[in-house]
Order: sequence, then structure tokens, then C-alpha cells
Amino acid sequence: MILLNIRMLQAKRELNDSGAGLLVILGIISFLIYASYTVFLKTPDAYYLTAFLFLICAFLQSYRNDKAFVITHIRKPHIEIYSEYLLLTFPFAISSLFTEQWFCFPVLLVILSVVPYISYTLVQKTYFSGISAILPATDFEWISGFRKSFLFLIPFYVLAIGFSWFRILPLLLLWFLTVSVASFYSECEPLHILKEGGFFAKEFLLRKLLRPTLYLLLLYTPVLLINTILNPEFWLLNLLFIPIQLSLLYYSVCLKYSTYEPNKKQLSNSIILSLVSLGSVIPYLLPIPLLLAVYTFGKAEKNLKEYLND
Amino acid sequence: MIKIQNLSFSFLNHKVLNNISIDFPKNHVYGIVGLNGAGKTTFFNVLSTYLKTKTGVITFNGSKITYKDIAYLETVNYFYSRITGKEYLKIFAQTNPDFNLNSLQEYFKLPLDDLIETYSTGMKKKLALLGVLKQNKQIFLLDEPFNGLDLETNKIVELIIETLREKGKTVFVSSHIIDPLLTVCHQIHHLENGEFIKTYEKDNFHSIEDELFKTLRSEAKTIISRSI
Repeated sequence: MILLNIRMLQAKRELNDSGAGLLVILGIISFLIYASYTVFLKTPDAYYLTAFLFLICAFLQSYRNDKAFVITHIRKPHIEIYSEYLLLTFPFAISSLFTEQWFCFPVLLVILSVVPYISYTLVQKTYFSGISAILPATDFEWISGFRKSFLFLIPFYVLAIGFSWFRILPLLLLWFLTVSVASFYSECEPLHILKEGGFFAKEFLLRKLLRPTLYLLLLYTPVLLINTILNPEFWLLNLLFIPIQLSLLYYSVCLKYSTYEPNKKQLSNSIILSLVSLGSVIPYLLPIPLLLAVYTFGKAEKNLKEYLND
Repeated sequence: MIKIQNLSFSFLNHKVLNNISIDFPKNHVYGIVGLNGAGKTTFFNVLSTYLKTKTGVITFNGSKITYKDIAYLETVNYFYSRITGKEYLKIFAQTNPDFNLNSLQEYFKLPLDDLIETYSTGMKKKLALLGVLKQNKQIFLLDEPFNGLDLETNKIVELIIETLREKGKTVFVSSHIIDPLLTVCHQIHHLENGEFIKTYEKDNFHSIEDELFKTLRSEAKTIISRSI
């Protein structure tokens, strides 16, 4: 099982890098396993979950670009690929065996056997090729992130504007947008791009924080303004909403640079960030993103000094 | 003048660069050759200030060398995901007033409106090179610039190096293909076990290949003849 061994090594490396985030990752996985169990208790939810797990694997298979390599160079390639998807779905699917919908597990095993034979690879298209006319190329996180997530960023924003006279709904939609935008900062640029402006660490970080502030204000102000005019009793909530969202965004920027290593994708940061995002909607946890942003700013500056302060 | 004094660099406890002291007069093209693991890329990384050293000093025109003096084309080029070639180039401020993308595109023929993920290795190398040429720096470090390029573009890169030198720049080039170095370089330095063991002037370039592979050839010949 060559592929499984490789995946194990990759997972081990990622977990080693995640530090204290390891507990968070384990916590999330445990929660998902428990959540799957509760879903398998009922029909038709159990069928939907089985179909969902199958679709996830089919989607991954159609996106992976190592298919030709695996098929050419590895013995019994379809079994190797099949075993990967089995391992991926196993923790979630196994819980069905402890419910009345136990048959979902063998059904999934059977239908997953089709997935390795999907040879079609989705071609990456260049959507919004003219976006750099609106966003400067130096905001490559936003350009890249928008291309990755525009399919739900645009509808969410349109809905937020469309429902801006509602009481809480637009805020929730904008919060989803902030969480998505925060995830833009999970990939480290190469060193020559980091060094391009010739800034010192602190100046670099402040500039990195300024841009999202501007974008967020531009995007959120119209929605919040309409909402405040039509629901004047919510003026304070709307007023506080922007700094709360900004603090989450600041935290994501500072978190990225506090663990910056050239060319690295920071998967463990994304998990920590998604948990902190919850803090920006639970009232008594509201100060957490701000406190973390302040704390990680110092860490980010210290880390960036290693690369920037020549 | 680039002056290197007592430069050492270690990874963990392994010394990769070993007490290097050498001068490089400016406005020349220098080739850096050496077998795998000789320390070429580490030398480039240290010279570019990507890696910081605790021992040794590198100065350029009498002052400590900084990244502002240097344009660096790395061996392996990493690009941020989901951005196009055009967006990548826009990240860099055009400090070189003569840089004309449209003219260079006649030879490079890059699909600049496409995502970089869809580029081949050679196309990525060309894109990274364009990013480097956009900058008006005094020192150009080109680590394996000929890697993955077609014959025609190899020639173009040779011409680019020649032009940089004509414009008063100092260029360092490493390559595992010796031939293009023989054409573009004024001097070739042989790096072995983290030390510059020999400098070749244009007159004795013909002996480089023999000397570089002398040990390898004798050892490998025996092993290969026993193994296949």
C-alpha cells in the first residue's frame, strides 16, 4: 500500500507541524465522527450522508492530477486509490455499523469501488482574468482566494445586500464572508515576493492589515448602513460588527505571518482559524479574536524579522 | 566589487559552506559549477540574503550586501496558487525602465492570462525570469536558469545574460549543463564540499568538464560496470 504509506507520512508531518493545534484537529475529527453517528441514526439522513461521502471522494478523484502517474507507476493502482478513499471515509462511515442503518457501510464500500475508475480530470479555468484591474496584484491573497471561493462569496454578498433590511440575517451572511476571507491567508508566498516592497517587518504587517480593512469597509458599510436605517434599534450591534470582523481578519493575517515559512501551505492554521471564527459570533467570546490578533501581531513581527530586516 | 570573507554556513551540524573568502569584481558573468551537494544553491541563498549567516561577511561596493542589490532566480520556482502569469509579474514594481514585456513575449510566448498552475516547468522558469528582469538590480543570481527550457529559449537566456553584463550588471549563473556557461561566463568557479577549489579563466574553460568529473568518472565507471 504505497499510497497509504505516503499519506501517513504526510499526515504525520502535518501533525508534527501543528503543535498545540494537534488537540484542536483531534477534537474536530472526534466531533465529526460523533456527528456522523447521530446522522446515521435517522433515515433519510443516513442515506444522504452515504451519498455525500461518495460524492466527496468522486470530487477529489476528478480534481487530483496524479492519476496518470499512479496508474503508470504503481502496481494495482485502482486498489491503491480505492484504499485511500476507504481510509478517508472510514472514521465517519464505520459509525453506521452501530445503528439500524448499518447497511450504509457496506453500500459505501461497494459504490466507492467505482471512484478509482473516474479518469476525467477537471481542467482549471481562469475565472475573472481581469480581476487585477480592480484589486492590485500585491493583494494576491484576495485575487487567489476570490478565484477559489467566488461560487459562494458572490451569492452570499448578493444575499446580504438583498436581505439588508432583515434584522440578523445580513450580519450572519457577512460573518460567513469574513470567515471565508480569513481563510485566504493560509498560504505563504515565496520569499522574493515577501521581500519585494523592501519593508521592515512592522511596516510590512501594518500594510498587510490596511488593505483588508479597506475592502471590508467598502463591502460591509452599504449593508450595515441600510440595516441601521431600517432597524435603528440595532445601531450599536451594527457599529460593533465591523471591528469584530476586522479583528478576525487581522488575526488571520497575523497568524499567517507568525508561522510564515516561504512556500508553505498552513493547513493547521485554517483549523485554528475556523475555531476562532466561532468566537466572533458567540457574545461572551467576542474579545477573543481581538486579543489573539494583538498577541499574534508581536509573534508575526518577530518571525518576519528573520526574513525582512536585512 | 563583491567581497566575501570567511563565509561559512551549516545546516544542523553539516557544514555546507566552509570558510569561503573570494572577491568578485563587478560587471562580470561568473559561472558556479560543482557536483550535486557541493553547496551551489546554499551559496546563492546566502549571497541573496535568503539565508543568514553567523560567520563571514559579504560586502558589495564596500557596504554590507542587502536584498536591494540582488535579483534572484531560484532553482525551483514556487508560485502562489490561482494567480495568472500577468498578475505574478504585476506584483513586482518595474524598476528596470528598459523592461518591455511585449517584446520579450515574442520569444517567451507565455499564456500570461492563464493560471500559473497550468504552466509547464519551462514556462514557470521563463515567468520567474521575467519577474527577475523587471527589477533594476546590480547583482543577478541565476540558479540553474537553463533547467527545463527548450533550445531556443536557452539561447535567449544566454543573450539576456550577455545583455545584463553589457548594462553593467554582475551575474552569477549555476548550471548542471556546462555548455551555456562556457559561452556566457568570464570566469567559472568550481565549488566542492563548500569551498571554491579552482577558478577557471576563459583560456582554460576546455579543461573544466574533465576536472569536474574526473573523480566521479573513475569511481562511477567501476560501480556501473559491476551493476548493469
